[in-house]
Amino acid sequence: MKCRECGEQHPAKRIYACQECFGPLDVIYDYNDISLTKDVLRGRRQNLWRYFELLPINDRENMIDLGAGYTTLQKCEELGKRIGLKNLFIKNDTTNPTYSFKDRPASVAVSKALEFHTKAVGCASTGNLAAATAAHAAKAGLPCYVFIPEGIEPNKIAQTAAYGARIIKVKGTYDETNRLAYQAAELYNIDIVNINLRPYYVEGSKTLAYEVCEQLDWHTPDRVIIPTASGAMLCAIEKGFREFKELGLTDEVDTKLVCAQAEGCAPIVKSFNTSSRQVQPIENPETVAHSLAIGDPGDGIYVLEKLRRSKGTAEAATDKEITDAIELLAQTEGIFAEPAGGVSVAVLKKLAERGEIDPNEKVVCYVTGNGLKSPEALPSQITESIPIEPRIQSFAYVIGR
Amino acid sequence: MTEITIIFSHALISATNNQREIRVKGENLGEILNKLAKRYGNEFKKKLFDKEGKIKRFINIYINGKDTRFLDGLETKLKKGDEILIIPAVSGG
Repeated sequence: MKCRECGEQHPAKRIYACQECFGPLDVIYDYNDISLTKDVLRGRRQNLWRYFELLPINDRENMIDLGAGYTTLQKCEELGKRIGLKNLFIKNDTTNPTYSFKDRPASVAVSKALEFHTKAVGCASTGNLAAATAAHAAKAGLPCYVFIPEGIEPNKIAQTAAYGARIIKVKGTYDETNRLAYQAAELYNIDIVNINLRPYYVEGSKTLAYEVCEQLDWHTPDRVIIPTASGAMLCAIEKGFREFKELGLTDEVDTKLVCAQAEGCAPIVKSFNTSSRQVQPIENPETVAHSLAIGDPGDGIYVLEKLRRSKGTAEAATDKEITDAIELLAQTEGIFAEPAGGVSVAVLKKLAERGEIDPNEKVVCYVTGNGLKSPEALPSQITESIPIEPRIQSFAYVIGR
Repeated sequence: MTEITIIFSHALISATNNQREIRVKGENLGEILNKLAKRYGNEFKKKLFDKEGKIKRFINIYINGKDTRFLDGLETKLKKGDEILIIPAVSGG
């Protein structure tokens, strides 16, 4: 592993901070030792483990595989027509085993926990990671402790409970929950996947980039719209594109990164717009997009660097724009997204309508969680239905004939 | 002088003589950190402060669970029994 700050290298052990400078660690690979070719990949199973050589697991025996990954890249003619884009694609990660992209990092992290002979795993979560970690822990036969803040959607809690995880509901924000999980990890020897297994955990999200390259016939998109909370996924996607180029699996990477946040929790957008190198945290996030409600984004400063380097941008969406975007996506493309997906579609729409995206650009918009996880986010006028008498006249009345 | 408890992340204890928890007297956060820097020397300073002497941007400090960026930063006044936690900034739900 290599320190993101000082560059010091460390063996791939159960550590997550640099022993020299305390900076965050990234897993590194010797690309000369990796012989992945297009033909090899074409013959493999369609899930994230097809990229085994680019994931930080040593022994295939430790893989916990619920089938996450290799989700559909959907060409969106109708949505594209509505917002003036000719080459629009949605990376539809609503169809993962626990219905969000979090199955990717959770699958890798729980597998790594097995490799480290961990006794218990856990996570600090805004909801989606909770279910993903719990499901993979269940498959691995490991106890799982899930730390969540108050206000998480009931469906996400029910799903997590069903997998047998111990749910620790904290009276506070996500950031307070995360701090408590950190302390629990240190004192009680629990591997919190997104804290002390973090360097390994984030590697799973790189597969969101690999798959898009493969599905675009080994080309990178011109622009990607990424719903952003901590910033870990955006950094992983950027790394994924770079690695595919390193291995000669794709052409020059010239992809503009777009960080999409909810207006009630947009610390990275605010920093980007003021050209700051720091990210000022938000104490009390308020947004319908609970899964993006991280006021103190751990990777925020690195997201800013990557946005600038890629000539990308950052934009926020209001709650109304988010729920409107959920409806727009569902009604044009048949994809029902949770509010985080609404955030990326809402930001896509804003940028397209402002003319900031060329109509011919190849754009990939990441939709990372399923709408069934948070149906209460939808406005009541579209979820309410009025019952009628079982008579054909009543039906005729309803449809106005 | 007010006695404060300081808890260090495991990742930091190689710079604190393997001490995970200590008690130090001081009136505000800046004073406490200066005392720690004197006590533990260069390795500790290298991990906690950047070249300009500021707290590194990827380190979070909490007082009784509250992020000091929502308090008065290094000027935050301390009272008897306060607990300071120093950990790397990691998050992501």
